[in-house]
Amino acid sequence: MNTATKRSALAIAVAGICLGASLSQASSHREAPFITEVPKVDGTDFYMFRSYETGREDFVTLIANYLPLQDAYGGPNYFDLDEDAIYEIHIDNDGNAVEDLTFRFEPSDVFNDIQLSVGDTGAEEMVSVPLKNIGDATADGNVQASQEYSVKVIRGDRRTGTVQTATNATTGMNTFDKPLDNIGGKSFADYAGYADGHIYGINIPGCSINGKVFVGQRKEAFAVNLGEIFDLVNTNPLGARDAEGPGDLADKNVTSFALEVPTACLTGTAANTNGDPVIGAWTTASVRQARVLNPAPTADGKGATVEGGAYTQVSRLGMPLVNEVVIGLKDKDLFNASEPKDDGQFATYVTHPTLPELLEILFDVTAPNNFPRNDLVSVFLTGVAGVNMPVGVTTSEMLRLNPAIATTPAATQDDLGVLGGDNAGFPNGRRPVDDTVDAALRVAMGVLADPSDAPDGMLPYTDGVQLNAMELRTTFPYLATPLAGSPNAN
Amino acid sequence: MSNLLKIAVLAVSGLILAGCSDSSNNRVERPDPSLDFTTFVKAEIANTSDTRAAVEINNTDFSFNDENNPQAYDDLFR
Repeated sequence: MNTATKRSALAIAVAGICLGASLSQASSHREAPFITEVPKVDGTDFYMFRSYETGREDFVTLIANYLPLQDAYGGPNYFDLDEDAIYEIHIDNDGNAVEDLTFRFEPSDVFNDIQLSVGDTGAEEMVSVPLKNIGDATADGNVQASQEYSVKVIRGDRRTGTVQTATNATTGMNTFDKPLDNIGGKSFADYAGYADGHIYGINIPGCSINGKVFVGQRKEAFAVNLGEIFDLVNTNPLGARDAEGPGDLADKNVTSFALEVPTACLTGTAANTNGDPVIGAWTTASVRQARVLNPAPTADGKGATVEGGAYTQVSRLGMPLVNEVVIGLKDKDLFNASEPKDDGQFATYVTHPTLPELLEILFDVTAPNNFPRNDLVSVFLTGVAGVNMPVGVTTSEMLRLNPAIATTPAATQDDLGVLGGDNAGFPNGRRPVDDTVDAALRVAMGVLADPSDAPDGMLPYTDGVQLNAMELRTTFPYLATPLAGSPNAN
Repeated sequence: MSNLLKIAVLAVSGLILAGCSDSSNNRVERPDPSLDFTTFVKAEIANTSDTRAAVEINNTDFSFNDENNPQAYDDLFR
């Protein structure tokens, strides 16, 4: 018997913690060792804000981005979601760090074998084509491969709670079409209009008012210089906020799960000291625990893989940058598999963060010395008292929103959020325009700490990259039309 | 350990014990206490459910007995 015994451990993704903090660069793009192996389930950014589209003030918009660093020209397969995975947005509305409500997106492939007649007259053969589309991609008959999805609404535990299916508010169907990625101008004469046709009204069980849903490719809105940041912050952290242009992600796309929900359907008993409701939220992706590769993935067989077992979480994202630059490398996979209720195990990463110490080493600045860093705990693990901290909150990492705070019109939003005097922005939730890198850098270096503990805390730290807010939409789904794969403008 | 894992362990142990009963070989072999990885995977796939919790594996010793057997999972694709 060939018995090579190995210590188990491996497989799926483990778990972790959370906490808070700081800075740097990519919100969560390829941030943990294991997730780099499965980009389709790599959560990159999570937004939650009171809708600022005119007339939608009574709604909250949730956007979970996945599948990072998409080059628009990445054909012929482009960037489909994993049909064997589930993508979820969890809501904690009683402040106990456990989900009370979950929106589960379940993608599935739709394949229509398109064949062309090829050969000499009288001896033609029908041969399948290698491309996703063979003409105008807005015509279903020209499209060989696309995706659709369903949305399940789960109350209680995400696995054992009560499951209901959301439906298309117009058709009553329980599936929604996902637009093809932006292949280019020859496949789509008007991609923006085509994609907008995939914004659906959604009937959410338990809600008396319909919401909106969109799942599809969008232009990346996270502005950062990944290269410089990870090259030991190879930039001037005290230079102009736009000194280095639009950033490394400005020519990338992502895939967004966008959902606009009536605020009343999200709030619960969690409230701050003023009685304002507080919504906690985070996104996760999970895959089946076992996967076997098919050595003969024939078209009429079982495909390239067979999956089975329990759903196992491999990606987690609430507050930006946490797993990226707060969690230690050895625990990043663990964090991605963890749940907020277990975040106490990672508290040290927030109370004694390494990033400020690294900046102190790399630059002539002094890191804060107020340990434990309760100023960071407030921002990242509990919410800010009187703003978005629920009374009696369980310390845990997630995005928290006080939806009673008035929205700021898109044209006047301050991308530093609360630090800039705009309480409708980060860390009171997060809007697409919010420069969470600069805000988090400043918080990490002590802008909220006592100056005697953080002598350089008031410096205007920046990564030198700012999003051009004009490229964002002012209506749902807020993120911009994705870059086209063709023609190449460069 | 979940019931599923217990079943898998018992199944593997049973197979090993059956092999040891070969009368032509008087050598007494000790059952391998580890869990056959192939058996584990097949048991997982056979017990797919949206409501299950993932199986903890950090304290499980796997034995990888099919690393030279490309047909080990063929039954999953039939």
